[in-house]
Amino acid sequence: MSSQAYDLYSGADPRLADGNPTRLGQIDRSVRAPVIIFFVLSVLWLLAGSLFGVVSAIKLHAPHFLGETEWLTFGITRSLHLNIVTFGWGSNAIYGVSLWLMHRLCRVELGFAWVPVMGAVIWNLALIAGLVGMATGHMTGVEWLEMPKEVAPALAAAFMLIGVWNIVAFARRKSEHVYVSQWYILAAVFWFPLLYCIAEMMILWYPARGTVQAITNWWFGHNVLGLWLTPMGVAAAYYFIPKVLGKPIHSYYLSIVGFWTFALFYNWAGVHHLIGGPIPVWMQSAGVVASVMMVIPVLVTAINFHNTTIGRENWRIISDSPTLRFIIFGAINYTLSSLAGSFMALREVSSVTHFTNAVVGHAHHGMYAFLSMILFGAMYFIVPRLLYREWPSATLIRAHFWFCAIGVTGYLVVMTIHGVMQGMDINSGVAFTDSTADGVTTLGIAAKSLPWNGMRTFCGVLMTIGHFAFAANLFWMLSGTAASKYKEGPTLLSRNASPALEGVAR
Amino acid sequence: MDDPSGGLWDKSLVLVGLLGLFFFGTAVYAFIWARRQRQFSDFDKGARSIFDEEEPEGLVTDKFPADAPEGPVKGPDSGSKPPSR
Repeated sequence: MSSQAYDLYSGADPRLADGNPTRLGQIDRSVRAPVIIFFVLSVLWLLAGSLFGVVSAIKLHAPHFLGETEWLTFGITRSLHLNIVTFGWGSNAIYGVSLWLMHRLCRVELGFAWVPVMGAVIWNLALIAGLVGMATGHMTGVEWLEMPKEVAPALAAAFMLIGVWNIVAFARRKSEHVYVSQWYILAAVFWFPLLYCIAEMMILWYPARGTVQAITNWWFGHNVLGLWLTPMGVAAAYYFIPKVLGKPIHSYYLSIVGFWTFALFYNWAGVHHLIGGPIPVWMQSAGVVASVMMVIPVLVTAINFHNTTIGRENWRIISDSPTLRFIIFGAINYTLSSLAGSFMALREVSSVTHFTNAVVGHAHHGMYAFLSMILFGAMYFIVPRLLYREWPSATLIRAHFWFCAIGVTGYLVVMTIHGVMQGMDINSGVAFTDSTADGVTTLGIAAKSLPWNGMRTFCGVLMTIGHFAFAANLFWMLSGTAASKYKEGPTLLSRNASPALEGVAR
Repeated sequence: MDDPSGGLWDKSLVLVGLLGLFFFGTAVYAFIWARRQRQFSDFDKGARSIFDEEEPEGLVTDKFPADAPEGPVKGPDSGSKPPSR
């Protein structure tokens, strides 16, 4: 450690002569331990989840790959991938971002940092237990609830230890106005535990019979995205876009309209996963209507972000800011993936895309191109403010962005085109005729999928490379080597800020 | 013949419907609460509530770390050089 390094845990703010933190610095310091722990864990899960994703993808064009080991067969690796990225990467990252954001917006400090830290320990141990259970043959077979039911109480208890601090902060808030991000975070921490406990009860502990189980399953499965992950992503976008640009959101009125229409409609949309299934048709129709109604909050949000970020000067700031690069990419994809989702919920479209790669592509559009990119952006903003350090390498940040952006865009294109082809083949019956590839007779659908699944793996590898670049930068920063510099000034992350960017109102 | 699962099926379906209504109801209740709290009365102030004296409006708060010399730096006023990239 060189002279530039400082004691990570002293809490002294090197930016100020007397070492005392500023007001925001005090708030940041109060949430530092849990937020950093959540981020580190989330990045470790991200790496593990990427590897399981790539392994699963490879198996789709090379079925014998790692096929000798039971827990590395497709059915398990694919589900491990889903659970790791949702409950390991996404949820841990969201806990960190929401705690930081909520305390900052409420202008209060976190009083008992050890409680969410304990929550983090319990959540992640329970998750490991659940994943080991899945890998050793105790998977439930209910999508999004694959972990054995015994870990659910531990996960719920951990959630309480973590999520409740968002509510405590809100109750003690010193700010006069409730910012729209606070609404989204509150909605998510209020809805998610209810959703999770109800779904666990109705599907695994006291299972409802028949198709009601499927209805509950998809009510839950879609609402994990809609009422837990999505609101947190949108909350972060609503904070960081105006915050980094230094100008208020274009229309606060629209953002409020967006939130309340979102809150009223999203809960009903999940049934669209069962279109064409053996459930009451009126219920499917309700799901289709709710999915199309989601166009309102999505377009309202899109118009708002667009009008806030438009203009040459803003675009220069965006390309100069790691945070905004990721978050704007995520926000654009929030609009695109949500509109695509509403479209795919239509019966005519669903009859083609259902049960094909298009659905998998859409899931990655929402979970990755939207949510994960926004979480990356948020971390690029938050971590330097907690550690008082710069990100060591701008090159690694650029690598992270471009590998992930190109990877996920390619993935989406490949999966959507292939999905539509699959759907049309299935509907016309072509999929089930024999075809000959390399002298081996296979079903047409399997033979045709090989090149597409190969491209899918390639795109997955690109994203994984990006994740390793991110992890390298983060752990380099945490290790406090000479390459990490003090974070400069109260806000700017650059030593060479131009006068135009230096606090002058535009 | 009576299907033993039939009654339960209906009951569960009602439960799912009630859950949907409950979630919808919480959203409606929160909306009314927010209105009573006068959260919808001054949108301009709401939009500006993310800024304060420490991070005022007009301050750009993020930028790529520069590949510039290392070492501790004093404060926000040290960065008046032109951008390096």
